Amino acid sequence: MGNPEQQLDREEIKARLREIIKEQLEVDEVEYDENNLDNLTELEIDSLSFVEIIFEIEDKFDVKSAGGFSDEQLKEIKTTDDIADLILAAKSAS
Amino acid sequence: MSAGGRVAITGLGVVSPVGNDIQSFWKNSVAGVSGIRPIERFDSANFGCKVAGQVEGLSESPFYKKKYIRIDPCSAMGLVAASQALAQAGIEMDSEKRARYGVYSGTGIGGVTTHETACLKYAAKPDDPRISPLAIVRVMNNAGASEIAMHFGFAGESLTVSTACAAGLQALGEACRAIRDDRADLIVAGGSDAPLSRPLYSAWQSMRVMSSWGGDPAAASRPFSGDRSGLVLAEGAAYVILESEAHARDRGTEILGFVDGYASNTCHGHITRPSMEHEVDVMGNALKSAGITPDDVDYIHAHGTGTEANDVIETDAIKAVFGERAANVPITSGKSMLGHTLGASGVFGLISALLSLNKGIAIPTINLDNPDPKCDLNYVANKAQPLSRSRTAMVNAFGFGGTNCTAVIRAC
Repeated sequence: MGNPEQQLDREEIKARLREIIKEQLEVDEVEYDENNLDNLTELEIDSLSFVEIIFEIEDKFDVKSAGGFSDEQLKEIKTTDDIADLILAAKSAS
Repeated sequence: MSAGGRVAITGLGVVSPVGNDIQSFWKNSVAGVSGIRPIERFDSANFGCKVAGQVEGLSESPFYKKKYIRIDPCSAMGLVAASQALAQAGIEMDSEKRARYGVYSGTGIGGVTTHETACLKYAAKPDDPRISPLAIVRVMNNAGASEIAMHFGFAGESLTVSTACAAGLQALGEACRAIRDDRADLIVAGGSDAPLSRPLYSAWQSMRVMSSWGGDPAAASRPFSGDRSGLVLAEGAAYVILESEAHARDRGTEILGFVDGYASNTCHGHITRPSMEHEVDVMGNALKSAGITPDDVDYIHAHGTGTEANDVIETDAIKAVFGERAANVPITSGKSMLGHTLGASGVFGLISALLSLNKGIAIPTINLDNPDPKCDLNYVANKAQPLSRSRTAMVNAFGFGGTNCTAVIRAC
């Protein structure tokens, strides 16, 4: 988190996450709170639909080569920062 | 039907190749407009049959937005049609009476296009078998009923019937029984199918029941015609609102008609071949359950698929039930215009028949240019006919697997 280069990557990742959510679900970032992704359900987007987003993220960020996200990791996702953490961790592990 | 009061129809909704609302559906049906066009859902170059009844113009419907990614087109069409029917009946979302409101829905093959997509994705990357969990909730046959119940907040009994081409009418018949048994006050009943999946399209063709028509697509579906070419597959959804007469009158809503009779049986001799004996029985039992005789029937909406097996046997069965009167009862096959919407087809027939009774007009069986000598009744060939009496109609739906259903409806 303290590394300036990683901070930049994080913002890039979050920007791409916003694009993916918009592309996959036609939901603009102003319509949901990226610090509380649970509120996507208020837009009638259920948890199963969110798995589609995860699949897309795994593909776009090539996370699968590092084994993809575990079920436990997915359960802990609450914010786009959480997703960025997982992507950064997977990339540093690969 | 025995016990309980009458079951009223208070709302209608359709999504079809000839219109996505009741007004355009009726207008085009009376005018004999065909909804059969060249297939646009996929490249049909390798198929003998290159036409289908396709639903268009729903891309702006909320249920087709990406945020409803969990909803297959089969369920989305059902949601649109059910929404129309509920709006006409004046039922709002999250009604306080939700525990007494249910959904009875029929489908022949449910989310089959989602299944095809998942299979193709798997086949392309078998070493990376990540298929979305949404495939399950999109493919399952009860998705249609569930999505309607979830969207409108209905918590009463729901049932999914999957009896091929009889599914929707059987769901509707069972819904009537549930209301009569006082297990529900109101039920959204109908059927939906979106069968334009390439593998199954190929299988239908291999079964040799698909249209081989090479001319104008609009002329491809030719029920009761001597130059019939087989059935034409179609997408569509048709739903009605059923409620106890007492419930409808308490609400003060307009009653459009009644379902007064219903029967179902099973043709057990062959998985696809119809049986005249069982069709005679199911029609006779439906009339008996309505407490009427063939003389009371003013109009018949036939199953009328445009296959020789169906058209000749259904004609013979009608003759056996109606005797000399058979020649005097107008008979329509709406499939001549819509194509065969499988599980939705019987409910399309019921909606058409109810509109016909209320407007005094029998819609035509189009493309009936060269009547089959074995099919020699009045099929309302090519042009709508006025009904000399428009009180009672009979609706048939016969499905692969042997399920036969007949409903009897009456105008107010």
